[in-house]
Amino acid sequence: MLIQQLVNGLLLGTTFALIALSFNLVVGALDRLNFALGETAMVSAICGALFMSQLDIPFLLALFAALAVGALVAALTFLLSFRFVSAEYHTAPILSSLGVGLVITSLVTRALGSDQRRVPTVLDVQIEIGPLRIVGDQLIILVVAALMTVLLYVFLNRTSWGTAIRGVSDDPDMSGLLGIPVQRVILLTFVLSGTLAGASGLLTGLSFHTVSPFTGFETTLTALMVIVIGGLGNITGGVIAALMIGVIETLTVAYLSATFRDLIVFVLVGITLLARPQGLFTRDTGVVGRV
Amino acid sequence: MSAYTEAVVIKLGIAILLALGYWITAATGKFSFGHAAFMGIGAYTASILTVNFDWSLETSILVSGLTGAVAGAFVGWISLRLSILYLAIITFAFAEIVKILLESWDYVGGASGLFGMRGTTIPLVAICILVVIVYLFFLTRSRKGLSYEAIREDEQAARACGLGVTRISVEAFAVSAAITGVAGALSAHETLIITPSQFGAPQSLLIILFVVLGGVQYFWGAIVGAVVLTMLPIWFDFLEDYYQITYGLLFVVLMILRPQGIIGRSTERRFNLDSLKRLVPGRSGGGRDG
Repeated sequence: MLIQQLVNGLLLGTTFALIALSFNLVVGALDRLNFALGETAMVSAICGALFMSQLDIPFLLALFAALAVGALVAALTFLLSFRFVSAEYHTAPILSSLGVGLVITSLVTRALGSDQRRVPTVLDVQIEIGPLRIVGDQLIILVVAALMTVLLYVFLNRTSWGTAIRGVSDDPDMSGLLGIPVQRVILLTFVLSGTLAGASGLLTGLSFHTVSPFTGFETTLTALMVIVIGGLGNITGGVIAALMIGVIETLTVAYLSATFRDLIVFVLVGITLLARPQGLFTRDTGVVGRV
Repeated sequence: MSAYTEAVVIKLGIAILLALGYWITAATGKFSFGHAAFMGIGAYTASILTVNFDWSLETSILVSGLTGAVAGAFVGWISLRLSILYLAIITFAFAEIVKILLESWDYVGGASGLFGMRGTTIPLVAICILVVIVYLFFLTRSRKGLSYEAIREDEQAARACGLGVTRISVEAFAVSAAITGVAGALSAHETLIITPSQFGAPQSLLIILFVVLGGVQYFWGAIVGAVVLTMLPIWFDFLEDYYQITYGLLFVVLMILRPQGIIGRSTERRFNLDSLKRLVPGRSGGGRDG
């Protein structure tokens, strides 16, 4: 029973890890948070669910479609809330991206209705290892999440565009002087973060088999908790914190009660901020001061 | 005065009070994203006192201001040492915690809400606004008001001048939360029933929009923002289904065109060539790029 819950928690954590990665990428590129990423994930999930249930498109194609939607929405958010907003007003991108989030949520409810959408089962198998039972969809979540993380890692470390992204996140002025098209690299970072958010949205939908148009803000909030605990801009810390929160949430729901789920995570965040504001897994690198 | 006009005037008054309360923390450059939580704390405190303990509305309002101040000081103490982004995250989380706690607290009716309050009158709201305006009038002309402005414009320079930035910001945050608590108490005794979901993120964003629309330089800018945003839905009632889209777009357009608000001067001279060059790339530095 306990092992089963631990595995479920870790699997929930992988979807958190994707959305936290997506937030952290933007923090790296701009030292700013994109508060519309939760809504981006929601739109992708709804589109993916509609493609699968209404049009009978196979899962893999629906996943790619969801990724494309996420990338598009994130690029739009960049243009609306970051590109043309004066950098002198620190709160401006926060407010503006929150506004984009509001617009996305109401556009989706207006265009597609406010009811929950069902995500059909993709892989109808069950694997039993001793007391442990893993459903086929959980396997898909694990594989897709792991694949995306590895691809991102390879992209960031082995390609010239990836190197450019890391360069811009280290020092935009120096990268600009060396001839890197900074604005285009930032746009690319937003597109990548949108794809990750899209994947996270559809995979979360797959694990609960429903998606609702009102989960956008909740997703943002969860991702914020993860990156505070893991350390702002710290990619490895974010993944560890995501898995941790996934396990903690699952165990609380299983052994305490569902109302305590968010509360325990919030308390954990409060303690983290009091004791180690730079995050549990980070040395103080100065990101905290810059953002 | 007809009941309808009276309701509109009270609603307007409460919006003004919320905007003025929020302005105090915005004046130090610290934006809270969960001010609806303080409104909720004030609303529930006052309602419990009047409904369950038969206190008079006036004393309950004072007490709810006090609880708002205590909650505000606590949140400010945790978050104001850190940067604006952490403040945003903490205030978001705090608002959610308050909502969850209220929803699971059976004594106040849980998610279905608390009812039985009444008694907000126009004179009562007017007196509250008057007190706050007199306070702000003297605040903005005092050394403390000047220090708020200094922190807002350049926190490091303010710190270098020997201002206790954290202490001053926490104080401003607590006063702001107190006024918001009073506004919450008044609104609870006007709407007759309160539920935890009334004090969620949309309400917080609306309060921010009051102040951002008007601009943070002058406190009467906040009043203008509150009046405009309260009267618009009443005058344009055909927009009913599109509030959220309108508010969202308002945020986006304002931040691009006038991040300092409708009222208020820009800190930079916007239309000389230099500032345009800085405006377009979004951040300093950057290579040649389409």
